[in-house]
Amino acid sequence: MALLEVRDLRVGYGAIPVLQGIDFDVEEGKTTVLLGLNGAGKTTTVATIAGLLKPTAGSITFDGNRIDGKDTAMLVEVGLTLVPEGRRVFPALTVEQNLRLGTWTKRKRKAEIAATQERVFEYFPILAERRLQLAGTLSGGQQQMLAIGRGLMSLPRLMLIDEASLGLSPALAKTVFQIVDRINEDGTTVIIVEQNVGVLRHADAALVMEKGEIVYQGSGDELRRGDELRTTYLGGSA
Amino acid sequence: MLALALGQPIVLGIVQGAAFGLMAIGLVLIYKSSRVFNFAAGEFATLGAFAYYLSKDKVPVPIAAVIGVVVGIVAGLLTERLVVRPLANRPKVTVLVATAATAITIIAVQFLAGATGKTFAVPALWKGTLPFRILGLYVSYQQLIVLLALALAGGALALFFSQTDLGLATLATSQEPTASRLMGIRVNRVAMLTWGLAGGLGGLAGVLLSPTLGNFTPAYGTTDLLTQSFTAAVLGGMTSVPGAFVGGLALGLVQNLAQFNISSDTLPGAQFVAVLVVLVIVLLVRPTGILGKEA
Ligand SMILES: Nc1ncnc2c1ncn2[C@@H]1O[C@H](COP(=O)(O)OP(=O)(O)O)[C@@H](O)[C@H]1O
Ligand SMILES: [Mg+2]
Repeated sequence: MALLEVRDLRVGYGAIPVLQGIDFDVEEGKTTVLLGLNGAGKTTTVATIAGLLKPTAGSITFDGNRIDGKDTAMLVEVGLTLVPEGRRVFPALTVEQNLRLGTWTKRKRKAEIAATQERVFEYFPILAERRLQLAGTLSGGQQQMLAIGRGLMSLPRLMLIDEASLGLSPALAKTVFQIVDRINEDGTTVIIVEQNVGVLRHADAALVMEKGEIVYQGSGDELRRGDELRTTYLGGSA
Repeated sequence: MLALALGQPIVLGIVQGAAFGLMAIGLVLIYKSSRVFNFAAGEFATLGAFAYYLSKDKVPVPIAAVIGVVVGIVAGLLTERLVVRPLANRPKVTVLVATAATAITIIAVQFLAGATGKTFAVPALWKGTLPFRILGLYVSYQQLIVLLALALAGGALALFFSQTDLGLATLATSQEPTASRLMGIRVNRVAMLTWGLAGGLGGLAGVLLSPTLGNFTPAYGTTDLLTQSFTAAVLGGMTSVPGAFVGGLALGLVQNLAQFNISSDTLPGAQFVAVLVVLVIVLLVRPTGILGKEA
């Protein structure tokens, strides 16, 4: 049984349908990348999984339990965390306070939290240096690190990361992807939303979305090596 | 004529300013958490005063005061649930107008219930005056209680925001509601908390201030407290609890110094003009307020 199972998921904004019935599985312990051009429906997909949007039809199963339509707070509690598009750090709070807020649903589990904070600082030493700095004054890359670190503080089993590399230099994007690898190696299942195909070498499985549908599912390597596939689905840019 | 009166306006100004400060802290709480100016705040105070008035003969006075505060809390919670939450996805200006409509509705109910033109006498929570004068003036225990209430509320809220996880979550919700939801914070509960607190502070201001004046009139929270508290909050930067605290006291002083020193022949209603002058100056010169930082 896959950790996450999405079946015939349909979601829209008001009367406008966006997801037209999508199906996919995410295996525990793997990194799955969700690729697609702007407007394909990637953010809509992960926001629905995280409980920010209510589906009009279909089901989402996490660890054997139906979670579609459940509220976000409950999902974070059971271990499903979204690092949102655009980082959305708390700008007038310090790095440390941002991380503290990540622990909200688990804040009684002091030992695990302390260990996780240490891990976050090990992944992102710059955050340790700037722990008392206001998040709004960090650079874009540092804010992305903080957003990922804050997500980790909720002790997730499945972490969804929406467009982590957007607006980052290629070198910085690579660093972030390498950390995602480590997060995955350290035991967290990851879904990473990207337009940057450079992410493929860090992915076990790949999904490609187009106009609200999943048009390709396969291994990350297969998609990376197959020029034809890439050109077809992602407009050739590599 | 320039016989500057100081003693009386300073003492009365600090007491009234404390009530403005309590309400201003409520305005700041709501502005911080939902970026809305709450024009219903004045009527939270009026409702508190009415609840106090109506229950004072049926239960001991301190219990009547508690009832007044509870009614303020309930008014805040209901406003959040029935007015603000249903408009959550609308522009802030819509919510602002809706809070003004809430105030008008509450005022209309008072008039429909026959309160028009009447005054309502309320007892002091603690009768008597201090056995010594301050600046040549006898200060009543009730006046002291108002000041004490402001200090306690201000101190408690400052601790709440700086020391507790719930306070931190409240700040987070005001800055990034979506990210707050993604942390697992139930933002509706945070909204209920802030509206309930603001309602309670309004009720407390209504219950405590009205006895220092001897009585109150219908809609008095809106006519006598709202503009001043709003100005106090703006003076403090709109997002700062200590700022609202200081702003409230400053406004009380300005209003009373004007009232006692500018004769009504020269400038009728000088105390209200003074408040508006302060508001305009702050908005022009330092729109971020005197402290100008979030706290
Ligand atoms: N809040 C919204 N209201 C209406 N339509 C939206 C909203 N958000 C996204 N959409 C539409 O849904 C489609 C998918 O958007 P999105 O999921 O953000 O795509 P992606 O993340 O792949 O760029 C787009 O056509 C977009 O215009
Ligand atoms: Mg997107």
